[in-house]
Formats: sequence, C-alpha cells, structure tokens
Amino acid sequence: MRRVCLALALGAAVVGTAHADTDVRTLADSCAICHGTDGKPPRDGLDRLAGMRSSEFVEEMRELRDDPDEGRLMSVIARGYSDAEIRAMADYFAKLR
Amino acid sequence: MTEITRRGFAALVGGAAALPLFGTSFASAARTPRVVVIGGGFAGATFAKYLRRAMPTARITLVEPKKSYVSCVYSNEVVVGLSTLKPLTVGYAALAEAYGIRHVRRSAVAIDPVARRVTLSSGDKLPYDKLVVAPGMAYRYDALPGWNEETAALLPAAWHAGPETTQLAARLKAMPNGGTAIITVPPAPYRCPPAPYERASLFAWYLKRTKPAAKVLILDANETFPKQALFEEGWAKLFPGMVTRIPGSKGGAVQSVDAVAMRVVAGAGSFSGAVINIIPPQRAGDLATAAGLTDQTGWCPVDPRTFASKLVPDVHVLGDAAASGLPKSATSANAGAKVAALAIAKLFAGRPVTDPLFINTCYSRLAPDYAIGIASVFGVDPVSGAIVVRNTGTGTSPLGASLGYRKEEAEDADKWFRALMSDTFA
Repeated sequence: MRRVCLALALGAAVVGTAHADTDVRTLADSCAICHGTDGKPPRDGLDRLAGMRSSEFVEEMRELRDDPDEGRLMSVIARGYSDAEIRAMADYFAKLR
Repeated sequence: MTEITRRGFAALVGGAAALPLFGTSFASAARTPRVVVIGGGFAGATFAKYLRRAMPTARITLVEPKKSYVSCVYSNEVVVGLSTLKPLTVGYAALAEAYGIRHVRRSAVAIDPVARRVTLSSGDKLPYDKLVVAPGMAYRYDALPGWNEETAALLPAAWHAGPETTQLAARLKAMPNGGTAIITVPPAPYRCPPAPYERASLFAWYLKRTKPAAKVLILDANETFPKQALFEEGWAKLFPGMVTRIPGSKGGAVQSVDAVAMRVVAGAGSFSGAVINIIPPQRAGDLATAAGLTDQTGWCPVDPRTFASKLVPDVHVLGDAAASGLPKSATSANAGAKVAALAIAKLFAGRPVTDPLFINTCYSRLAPDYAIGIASVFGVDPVSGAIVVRNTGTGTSPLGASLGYRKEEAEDADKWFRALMSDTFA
C-alpha cells in the first residue's frame, strides 16, 4: 500500500501489466543498467543473470517482490513485472552464456 | 556542399568505417537503412549500441564532436574531492570497434527533414532514413537576471560535467570557514531532479570536515523534491543545522544574482554567498530548438512508444531533450534509448511496435558511506498513451534504516554506476 501511495504522491498514474505486450528483449534489456548488457555485469558488480537457472531467477524475483526487506531497491523494481514476464525473462537469461 | 561519398566518409571517420563485419557492399548500400544519431551522451550512445544489436546490417553514424564523454552522474563526488573526472570519462572506441558505429567528430548544425539530410559543421551533408536527436539539455542564459554567458564563469553551474565541475570544486575549496554556500534550484523539469540535494549534502559533508562554521543554503523554486524525507533525515543525522532549504512557497525561487557582490535575491530576501552555485533553468539542446523539434515548453514532445517527434517526421528525440514523461536522468535516457532502438528496428522491418518498459533508478550519496535510492518501473498507459508506473513498481529506500543499510546502498550505487557506464558505452 505504501508503494501505491508513493506512486500517487509522485503524480504518476498506475497501470497493471496483465495485458501488456512487451518484447522479452525490452524486459531483459531493462535489467542491464545494473546487471550489465545481457546480464553480464562488470567486475565487482551485482548478480550475473546470464546463464542463471530459470527456476532460480523466478524464485529470486518472487522473494524480492514479496519481502520488501530482501533486496533494497531491487524489491521495488521486482514489483513492476507480471509473473508471465518474470518467467519470460528467466528463460531468456538462462539461455545466455 | 556535396553529400559525403563513401570514400570521403571513410577518410573522415577513420578506421571504424573499414570494419568488414558491418560493412556493406556498394551494390546493397542503397537498400541498407541509414540511421544518424546526433549526440553521444547516455541516450545517443545507448541507442547506437542497442540499434546495432537489433539491426546487424544498418549503417549507424554517431555525430558527436567530442572525443570522449564526461558523465554528470557521480560528478557531485568530484566537486567535493571524493572522485576525479577520470573514472567519469569514457571514449567512443568501444562503440566503434565492437558495434561498428561510425563516429563523425563534427557538430550537426541543421536538419533538412524533407530531403532527410543533416548538415555538419564541416558543411558536409549526411543523408538518413531515420534521424535520432539526443542533444541533452542546454542552459537558459536568458532566464535569470545576472546569470549569463559572462557571469557563468564566476558562478559555475556545473550541470554539465567537465571544466565547470573543476571550477566549482576550486571555489568550494577556497571558501572561508564561516561563509554560506548557496545552491539555487530552477523550476522543474531540469536534468536529474535529486542532484541539487545530493550536491547540497556533499557540500555539507565536505564543509563539516574542513570548514565547520560554514552553512549550506538551498534556494528552491520547487515545493517538494524526490527522496525529500530521506534527504532531510540524512541532513539531520549527518550534518545537524548545516543545511537550510527555502521552498518555492516560502520565496525560495531565485529572482536575480549579482556575481560581483556575490548576492542572490529571492522572494524570501537577499542572501550573501561565499560560493554561489546557480543551477540554471534549462531547455532542450540547441540543435533541437533550431530544428523545430521543441514546443513552447522548450522541450521536444515525443511518442513514448517510439520516441518519434510529434513535430517532425522520421526524427526521434531521446534523453533529456525529450518530453516523454520520463524523468530527465541517465538511467531514463538509457532505458528510453533501448525502447527507441527496438521500435525503430521494428518500423524498418514493417512489424508492429510492442509495449515499452523503462526502469529509472537513481542513487544519491550524502556521504562516502551513506546513499539513498529511488526506482520506478514505467510502462505506457494503453488509453492515454502516457508514461505510468507498472503495478506497484515504484519506491525509495526505507526511512529510518541503519547506517549499515545506507553503506550497503552506497556500495549498490557504485555497482550501478559501473554497470550503467559499461551498458551505455562499452
């Protein structure tokens, strides 16, 4: 609820993601600002996503989303994606080496 | 002035054009999409790289007169001696070598949207099928009495990183113990909304250690600001009594400045500053204005699904210059550029453009081991076409967190910055 209030306070409307038609490349490329291009971070960086097992990716994202104390800002970001989008990203990164 | 021939073009840009991987034969050149990108900041560089990933054979030219780029992100750290400009400076060699981007070291001076040609400072003309304009923001020298091209040398804005950053650092260093460092904040929108408050924080951190009788005064045209509660909590905890802010409703908007007397006049009164940092009102970069891409706001209206200009066909505007609905930040510039790259590749292929998604992330450092963050995941509302938060994907660092938590966020910030730079330029 706090997050919703904040979004409203920021003057931004809120939209659901259930019907969004977003290319998996757009979803995956959005991660790169922190996790590196193709999920390959620079040295001493955040978690590598490329090659991560699909089930591990999904599990991590669910934990982050459901527990606000889990991952600092990543807990906020995890809330922006639907379950289907998380699964699509998981499969995408699992295939990258 | 003739169009640049292929031979002359290769001479102009040096080795990059000779790359066999991305080269096109003369015969097929006519059918190879030509994309020209003007401006090599976070938006332009990200776009060039990600368009290459989406269009392996396109001819992509980056028009940018400078040899290297200096990041504004982390430049507040340089002002107070926590970093130098060197780790903030990056060249374009990786874009040329790894992605086959032709870097033309010229300024773009005009756009002909009918003939679809860009005129360069050399007089040469560069033809395009799609043009991407990412000139960043420009200072409005005409908006604040007393602050103009001449007095800006005495009152450095340091809202472009580089020499101004060094000038402001020198002034802060020369400040006596006991004076006031004044920061003036222009009306939104301006580049990097939380950055004035990060700068005020780092000023206070620096002054507390070196000139503890000094104060920091923020004269603010705005009423509220991002991460406000977190900043105010940090100021009270780290530098009690040192930072004062006068918001717009209490007369915080600066009305004039006197660079010789070193005084600032705002609605709330006249203030004397040992250091005066005018963060000037801003607009889209010069080329955007000259090319008719701006509206009465001084910014460029675009469709946030493709970043196509609403005013000029076949021209897309990215980064701070665009009025897309995204914050004017480096991460938004990076995120928007990726969306535009994929959208333009789909437009060339005659395929439908898919729904965009953008992450904006921004850390602010209040002290070496103390950072706070904000993040949002944005999409586009299918009905209004406006940028909106997806689900509940927006928020900040928690209030009342421990010093250990803030230290972890400072480490997150360093990792974020390194990844952002490499995702954009390498």
